[in-house]
Amino acid sequence: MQLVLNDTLTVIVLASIIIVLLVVSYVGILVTSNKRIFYEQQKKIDEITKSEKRYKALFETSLAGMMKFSFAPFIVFEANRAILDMFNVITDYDLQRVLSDLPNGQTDAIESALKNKGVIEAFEIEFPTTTGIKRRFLISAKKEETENLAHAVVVLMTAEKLFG
Amino acid sequence: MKIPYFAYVSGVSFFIPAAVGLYKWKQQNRIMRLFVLFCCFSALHVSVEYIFGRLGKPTQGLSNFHQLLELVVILFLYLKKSKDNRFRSALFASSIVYIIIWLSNKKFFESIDKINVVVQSSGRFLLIFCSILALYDLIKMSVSKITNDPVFWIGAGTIIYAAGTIIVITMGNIILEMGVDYFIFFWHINWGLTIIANLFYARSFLCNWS
Repeated sequence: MQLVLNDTLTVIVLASIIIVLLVVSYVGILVTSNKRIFYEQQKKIDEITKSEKRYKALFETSLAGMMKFSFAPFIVFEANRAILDMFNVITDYDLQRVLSDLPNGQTDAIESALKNKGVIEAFEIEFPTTTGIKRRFLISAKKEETENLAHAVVVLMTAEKLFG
Repeated sequence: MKIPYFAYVSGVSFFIPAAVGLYKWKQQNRIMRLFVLFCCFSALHVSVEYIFGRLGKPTQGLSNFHQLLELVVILFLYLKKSKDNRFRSALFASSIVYIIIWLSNKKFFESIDKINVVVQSSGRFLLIFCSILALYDLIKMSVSKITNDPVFWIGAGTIIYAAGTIIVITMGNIILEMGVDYFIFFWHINWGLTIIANLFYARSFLCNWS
């Protein structure tokens, strides 16, 4: 039988084709924009990873003591080799025990300064090591915006050689 | 009546996602396994429709039931994938509305020798609407390539099939009145898009649900 396409039937065919094309375009746009977003995200992640690696190297090799900690309650999350040597301890947990119980209320002073001002600058602390020698340090720390977390840099003031 | 070869190709295409789904069964989670079962049901459904057609028995009831199951299963997948409460509520409400429409049609309007335009068109409309939202929701929360997500392939297959066939289905009875040759001519759109949708469904089983 010979098919005769009148206006209505032609409209049906054309409308179906147009709708399919629109839908395919929609899906195509989604895929393309997702690829772009994914590429941008990947680029940012790469940059962050690079930057993180750079700062990690700086953190680990620094002669100044560095640590990331929570001041209420006092928990050391990460500490570099230099700060462990300064306080004559082996692990982050040992350092946490030492710093959470400094003599003469020095721990409380650090905590309240960070709570109230969000920062401490060159605060002097004195700490007697197990060998009997008193060591004096300068600690500077800055609180993170959201939580009770802070980053600190510690410098040894006592004139003694720790390394080598 | 001579069945076009393209119709056979379309019918066989239903077995592709079922076979891939069963082959990859162990890698699927419980939600995707439900979709594998749905694909198996679809393959069985098309076989039964073919046999019924050959025997001269009406297949509209089967087709309507398949439409209901398709909508519920796909909307359930979208619901499980989404974390947006408003979208989830919309999907749930859509399913309930469609079930009410379907039951009302079954009780009062179902005709065994005609395409049930209300059930078929409203089902496709809901699938298009929900698939557009599901794909948008997917890209919004995606942290990796969306082409690695099974819901993308299911959504894309569904939306292309449902959108492409909605006019032909809605006008189905009018076309049928013009003659079987006209109907077969227009039904090529349905068969073609069915093949595409089934290939997309099969592709979804090669992705990991994240």
